Amino acid sequence: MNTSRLSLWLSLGFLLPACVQPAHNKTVVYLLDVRGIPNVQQVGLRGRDNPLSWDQDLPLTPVGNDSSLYRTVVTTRTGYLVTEVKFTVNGEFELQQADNRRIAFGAPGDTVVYRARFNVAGSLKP
Amino acid sequence: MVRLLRFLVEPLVLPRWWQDALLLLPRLVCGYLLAFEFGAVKFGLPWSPPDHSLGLFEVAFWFPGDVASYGGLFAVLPGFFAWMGAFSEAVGGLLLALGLGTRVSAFLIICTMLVAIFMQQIQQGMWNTLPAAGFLWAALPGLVLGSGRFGLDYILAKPRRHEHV
Repeated sequence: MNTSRLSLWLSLGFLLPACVQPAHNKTVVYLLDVRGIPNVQQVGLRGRDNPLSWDQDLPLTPVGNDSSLYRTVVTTRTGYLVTEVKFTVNGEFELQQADNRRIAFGAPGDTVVYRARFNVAGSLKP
Repeated sequence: MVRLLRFLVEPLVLPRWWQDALLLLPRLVCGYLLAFEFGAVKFGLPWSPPDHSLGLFEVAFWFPGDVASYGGLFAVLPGFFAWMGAFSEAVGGLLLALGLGTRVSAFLIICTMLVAIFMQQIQQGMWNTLPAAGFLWAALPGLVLGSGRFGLDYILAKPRRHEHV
């Protein structure tokens, strides 16, 4: 391999990694209202992007002792603008015949608060 | 150099037009799926999903991590191999569908699919190798025959007026 060909491959090896999409930590606070749902044992969140998955719940914890409001905070390192999630109660998915919830991330460093009611599409106004 | 280019571009034409047309089908399907579905989500093109926020010719943030997990040389230069793999799928797929630089694009796609099969998918069982193997087999005629009658290579390789047929 002559010198010019070697330097071309070396330059490609060092330059192409610069063409990787930048990723940032994006934080979303999920607040879920489960009022009216009987016998709530476990409330979970599943989704597309790490650390969430579609196979396993990330548990939400009640905000107060007798509260029907559950909460979790998820930080994802991503380059995407949007993530997709669904909530579960006792391991059962909400919105089974409907699209996933789409949550738009904020700017890098910003935290988004997403309020929702179980099995009701869309977010609630703060 | 011209001879090499001609060798790369000039397609082999089959005796009947319908034989070329038949081989166009897997080339079109494979090229379309790679360029507009599988490639566009990991490599920035004008038709990449807007949610993914990919700049032009940018490789998705998660892909170099996947490539690095293959180990060896892939772990040394994950950005390079991720970019080459994503480029081969997205741009290679488009060129394959158009029949432009068919042999080169087929070669890039075949290399990428071999990596996908043996470094990633075979660990999850033989069934999981089928999608990548499907693209590999669909690209193989393009590597041997070029674009055939139905592709831009055929038009480009036609003898010019000043050349002897």
